[in-house]
Amino acid sequence: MDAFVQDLRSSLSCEVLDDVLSRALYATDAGNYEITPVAVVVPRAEEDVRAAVKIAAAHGVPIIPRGGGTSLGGQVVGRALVIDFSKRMNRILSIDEAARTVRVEPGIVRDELNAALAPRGLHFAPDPATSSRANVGGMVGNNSSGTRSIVYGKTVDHVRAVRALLACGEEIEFREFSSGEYARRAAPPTREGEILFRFRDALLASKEEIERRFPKVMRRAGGYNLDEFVRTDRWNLAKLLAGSEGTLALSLEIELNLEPLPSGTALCIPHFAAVSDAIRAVASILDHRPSAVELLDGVVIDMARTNRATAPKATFLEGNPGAALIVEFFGESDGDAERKARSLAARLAREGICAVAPVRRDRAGQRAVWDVRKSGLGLVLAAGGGKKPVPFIEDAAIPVEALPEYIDEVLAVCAAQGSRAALYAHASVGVLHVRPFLDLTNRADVERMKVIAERTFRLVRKYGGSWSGEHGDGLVRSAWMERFYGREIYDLFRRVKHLFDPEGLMNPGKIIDAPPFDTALRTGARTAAGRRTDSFYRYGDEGGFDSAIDRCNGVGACRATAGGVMCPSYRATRNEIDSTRGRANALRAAITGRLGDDGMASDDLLRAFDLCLSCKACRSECPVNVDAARWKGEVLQRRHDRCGAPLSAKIVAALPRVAGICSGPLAPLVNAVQETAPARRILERFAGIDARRTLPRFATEKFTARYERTRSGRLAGGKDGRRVALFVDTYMENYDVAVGIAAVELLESFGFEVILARAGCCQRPRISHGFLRDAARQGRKTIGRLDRFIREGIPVLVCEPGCASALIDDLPALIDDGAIGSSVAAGVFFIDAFLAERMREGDLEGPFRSEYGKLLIHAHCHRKALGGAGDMSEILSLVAGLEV
Amino acid sequence: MAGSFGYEKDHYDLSLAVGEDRLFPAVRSRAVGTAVVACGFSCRHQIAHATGVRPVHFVETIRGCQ
Repeated sequence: MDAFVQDLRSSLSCEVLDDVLSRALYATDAGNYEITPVAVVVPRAEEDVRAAVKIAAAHGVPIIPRGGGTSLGGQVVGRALVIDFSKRMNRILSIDEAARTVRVEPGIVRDELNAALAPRGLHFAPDPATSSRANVGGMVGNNSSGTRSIVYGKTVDHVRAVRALLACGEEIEFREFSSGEYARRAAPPTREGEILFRFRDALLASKEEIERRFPKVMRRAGGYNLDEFVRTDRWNLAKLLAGSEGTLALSLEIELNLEPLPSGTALCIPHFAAVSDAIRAVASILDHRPSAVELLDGVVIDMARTNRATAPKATFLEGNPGAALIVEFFGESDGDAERKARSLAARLAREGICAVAPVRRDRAGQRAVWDVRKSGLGLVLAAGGGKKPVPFIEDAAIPVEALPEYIDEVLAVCAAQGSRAALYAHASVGVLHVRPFLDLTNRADVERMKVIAERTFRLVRKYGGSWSGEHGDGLVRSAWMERFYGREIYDLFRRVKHLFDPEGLMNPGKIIDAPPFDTALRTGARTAAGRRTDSFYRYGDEGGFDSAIDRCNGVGACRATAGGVMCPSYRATRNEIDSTRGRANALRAAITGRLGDDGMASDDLLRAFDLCLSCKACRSECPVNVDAARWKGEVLQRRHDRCGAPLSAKIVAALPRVAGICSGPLAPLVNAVQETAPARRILERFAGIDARRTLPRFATEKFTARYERTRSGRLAGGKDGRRVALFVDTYMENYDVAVGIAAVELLESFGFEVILARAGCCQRPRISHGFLRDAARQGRKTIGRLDRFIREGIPVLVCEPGCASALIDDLPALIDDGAIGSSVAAGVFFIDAFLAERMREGDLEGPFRSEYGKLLIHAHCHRKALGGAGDMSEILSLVAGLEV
Repeated sequence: MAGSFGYEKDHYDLSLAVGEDRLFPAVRSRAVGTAVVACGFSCRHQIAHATGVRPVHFVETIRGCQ
């Protein structure tokens, strides 16, 4: 392979990655499989793709085109050259507003495309759950659909043309032709003529068998889309490339059909006692022509209502339903849509199908419902302990009238194997994703998976469903193709493949000639490694460090390019290695021995975590709430242990102590000296502080000194015995004294007596720089001092969010005394969270005052990770006339 | 942005790029008379560095009636 990679490097001017780590990062998608690719190319333009394909073909190396890598079935996983279109080949080439079409490069993210189209009132309609990072090229390859497929169908229904590159180097633009035009073109000697001619020949010979064997559900995504050619004489081979999962050709340019944005929407959310009741109601609901019907099962509902992030949004749920449906209506206006929603609610009540069916018409209300639906999946994914909800039977599409019986039977199949299952998604079109909880590192569970798959496959056949409804075949369902479609169709699939790719270079082993579906499981390496990796944090909730890493299922929310803040380093560089998923995969490579004997302290891991900001955005925004900041600490500490800590890290970790010395009487001198050029050079050289940064100035009078000096005016004895302890952090003490004073005044203005908690450092600097052992030791003392307040029933309030998160979240998981850790975690509060809580309890009397008229809030990332800025906004909303 | 990360020599540019994604433009284009609230010390300091606007802490923006 060295010669191959050398050829790539000498011919391509773009990135060519073949190091162990990079290949590990591209060895998985969001499914269950892991195969290390030969190399990865990140093309800048078509020339790079053409050259890479030519070289791969010359060396006989298979080729896999890849976008966001969020496929659920191992579609983009294989021993091949992976071509990653997402980083640079992501432009919109042209928009034709009148014809409602757009031409794009394959690497554009679906939501980015739609953001550009929205001002024109248009959108590319298929909306998979991963739309914030799924690439259009991948959506075409997988024939993706989504929530509103009942209105918009699948991607194949929106593909107008594909300019494709074949493995042989030939380029062909496939588009729709009338039968006359098709006949004219369908003639050798051109490659296009040959493909058109032979395809028509083969297809017409099996037309009846196609009619007979292709399931009659709209949501059919498995195999090649031969059914697109039986009931029309206007043929478009771009529709054959759709859903071909990169097994036929690569796309260079894609032309899509666009739809007008709906002018009005409203939701009706019928509540049910049990999931089976909800599923049974779907058929009646469809009479009302909704645009979406999505299921929330009891597991999701319970978790959504208890989870801190989703609870404030889950208020549309009334009583204690065992299931709910989210039914969306489009309309000429929101009012029109609302009338449809109300008419459904009325009918369900009248017919005794369901009594509670709230309607939401306002944008914020609807967004909250959809947020719960989306994060609901994450809640389920995180619910299994050591077991994970595995996608393998999840994608069956069943005729809606048979859905209730099918679901009952599938759940019984899972239960017979001792497995409960998560259930979610598209009730409207019979695609309810059923994911049984299994631990695939356990061989017995792999056997259970095989039994469940076999029995479910038979059920899908029995009910006339499709084995794949939208997630495609990949490595997970391709092995079933011959049994599903029968010999004749399967042979036809083979001929189609051969027509486009006679050498078998394009994504081999997918759709046809696939290995058994339990080969190349990503858990295989973990089973083999069979050990528990030591860690500094306890990862109690996750079931250990290894499980915490395994929680990343590759769904790639950290690659979202808009909305939320995760992951800032990926957004800045667009490199997989700088995403949270990349970091999880890098860690998996390390703990399975692929990064050398001491992989946890390797240069590779250091590289993967170098740009991690430790912002913990992943902690709240990742669907399974991984915490890359903790992982970074683990890596840095091991690195320090092996190579010694860099001086700059030591200096930064010591800053709280240094700040204590520099503030006060020495401050004027230090402030003057630190800005001089020689001082900046020294700071940059030894402390690693960039000379371009302005430096914070030390306070000439420390906060505690000022507090003592002004003590006579302080409130002694709070109203009704209200007392709180204010955590004296490094910043208010030594730099921004005004914050400390303001906090005291604020608390006193609400009648609290304030005592100062001088408990030492929260350890944030040490935690962030990988001095976890020292942080645990020193932090144990801080925690002990705070615990004294808490045991007296005095809440400890923290102004600096980074300190609060260290005290509430990180230190309790680092120190060896779990009991005192939990006590402190429960007794220490972000100051805004504490006030909001007391306000909700009616303890804080208004009127609230502010000297400001308008505020723009920037929420600290650790505050967002642990609850969000909602508390602050809630309090500020009580100030009359204040705009936030 | 991002605490001490933003002060580090090797991460200075990334830090500014992250801020320019949305935060700094939002701060610069805020309506007249709008104060910026940021609870993190280094958030306030780095916003000031990049935009010239000095943010305040939440505790400085509100008072009760006593």
